[in-house]
Amino acid sequence: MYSGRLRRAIDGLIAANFVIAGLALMAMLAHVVLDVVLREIAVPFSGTLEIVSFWYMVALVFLAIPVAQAQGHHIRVELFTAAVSPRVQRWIDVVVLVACIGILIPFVWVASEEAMRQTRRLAVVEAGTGTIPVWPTRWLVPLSMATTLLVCLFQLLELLGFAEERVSQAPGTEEPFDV
Amino acid sequence: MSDVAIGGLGLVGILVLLAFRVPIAFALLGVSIAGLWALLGERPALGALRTIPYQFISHWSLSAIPMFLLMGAVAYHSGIVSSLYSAARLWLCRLPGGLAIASNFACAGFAAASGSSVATASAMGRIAVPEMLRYRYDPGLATGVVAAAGTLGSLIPPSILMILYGTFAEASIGRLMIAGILPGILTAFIYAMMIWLRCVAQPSLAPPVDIAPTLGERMRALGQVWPMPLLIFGVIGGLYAGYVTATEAGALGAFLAILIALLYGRLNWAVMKASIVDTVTGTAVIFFVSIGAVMLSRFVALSGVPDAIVELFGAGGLQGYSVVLFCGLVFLFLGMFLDPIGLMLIALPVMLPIIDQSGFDIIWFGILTIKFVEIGLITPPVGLSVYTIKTVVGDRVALTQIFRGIGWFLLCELIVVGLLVIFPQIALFLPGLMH
Repeated sequence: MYSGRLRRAIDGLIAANFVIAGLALMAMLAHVVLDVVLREIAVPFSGTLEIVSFWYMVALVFLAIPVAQAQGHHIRVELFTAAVSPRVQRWIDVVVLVACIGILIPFVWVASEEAMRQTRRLAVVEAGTGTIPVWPTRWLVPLSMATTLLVCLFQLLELLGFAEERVSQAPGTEEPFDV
Repeated sequence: MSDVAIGGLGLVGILVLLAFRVPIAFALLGVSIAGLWALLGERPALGALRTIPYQFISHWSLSAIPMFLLMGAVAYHSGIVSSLYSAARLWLCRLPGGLAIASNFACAGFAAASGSSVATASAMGRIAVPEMLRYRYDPGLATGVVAAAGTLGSLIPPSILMILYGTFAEASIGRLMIAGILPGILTAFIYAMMIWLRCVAQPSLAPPVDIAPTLGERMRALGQVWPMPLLIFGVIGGLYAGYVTATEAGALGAFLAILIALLYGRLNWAVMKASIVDTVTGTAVIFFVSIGAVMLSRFVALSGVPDAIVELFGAGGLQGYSVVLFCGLVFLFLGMFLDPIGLMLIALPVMLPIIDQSGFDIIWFGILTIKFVEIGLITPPVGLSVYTIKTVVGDRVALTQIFRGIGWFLLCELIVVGLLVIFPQIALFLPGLMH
């Protein structure tokens, strides 16, 4: 089925995002711990701050945002709409998703322009005596927002009944350990 | 329309959007872009969106957040923290209200491994509340203690809220965290005193338990908790000595937690995967809201709303502590429907410029802010932390009972906040010793 294939593609994309974000997290951990240890035994080691900030953090955060969107983790206030009928709630959700998409489109647009600009300049940051290129991670911003946009679009299709809703993975059923 | 009116309209607009279930991050982003557009025009508005998100995320100090999230998640999933309650209950169970006092101190201990109050409350709620109910403790006391003591998660370092506050206020995160230690311990002791006094005066609140641990059992339980002091020492000690930055402390803490779990034979792929999943999604949620909040602070500052509020105070002859009171009331109001991160990030852009002009110590105000945020989360008629506990206990305890139980803890909070305002040294003494 058409929507089934689309869902599998999006699920795959989200899974890939998650794996890379997880790797960035563990790399950050290893890199920082190694830096502290090496500092102790006086081995010069520069660029940790820049690599953590401009590579791991950017990768972790921007790749994880669409994952959280797909799993329905992004914080919202349920209090005022809890009493509304499911039908009305569904329509509110449709309008909200359309509005989110409306915000994401210019976001993707300007972030791509900026990434292009940084790429043309081959942007770097100074670290110790050398430089570290940072232009590649600029592309993660438009990529992240475009993936989030895709997820929102698919969620909209689900709500409007063009794609079957997933039953297995209702948001909010997992243990709420995150913040 | 004047700039201040646009700013005010924007803030009201955010609340309206939130009421319609718009995710906080999108509400902040949308209103900020529209607001900047109205104030300055298309190019500056899109320009802010073009550069701010990346610049903000690539802040070195913010990388402490995923590290501390990972540390808390590993400590939780590998069971390092569940032994805390077992030990605390064996040592304190003979006291009047002993299990409640044990839950209180176990929360304080968990707070030293976790940076989040909701995580602390929900983890401890699952372990401690069922046992207290089994011993026929007053349901209000049993749930109230966990909801209230859970808030220590944000006050006792590490603390996600403090990292965000420090970044937005441009204050030292290390100092902030150290400043939270004494107020956190003070709060835990005042809670314990209150529980003890109440249970002495009204023994039916907490019937005596039939646990009679021998000294050997107690020592063995204590032997199970040794990793916690190690973790605490590794993180807080390093920060205090100024030897490591917050990010390094977080990474070392996460590394230690993994190492301890490994030594205990409790580290397996399932534990590690659950911890990474929690950390990755938690990071995404926090930072997406934060990106919105940075945009909002740009918009709010340009609109001049904070200046207008300051002028309002000046005109009414209100000075000094009325500013603090005002901030407290705003947090109380927003705490009715927002989570701690969203609450703080929406309020700070308006409040920080005001505090800057009032001349208060920014570290001291940070500790008060954390207190206000947490009080807002447990105050009737609605409080998010209370709902967390309600989710954990299900139908066994009514919402009204939980709120009634929390009343006493709110009284304690008032005392602590009063003490903090009268004696700022409670917060500022320890960071003052750092160099």
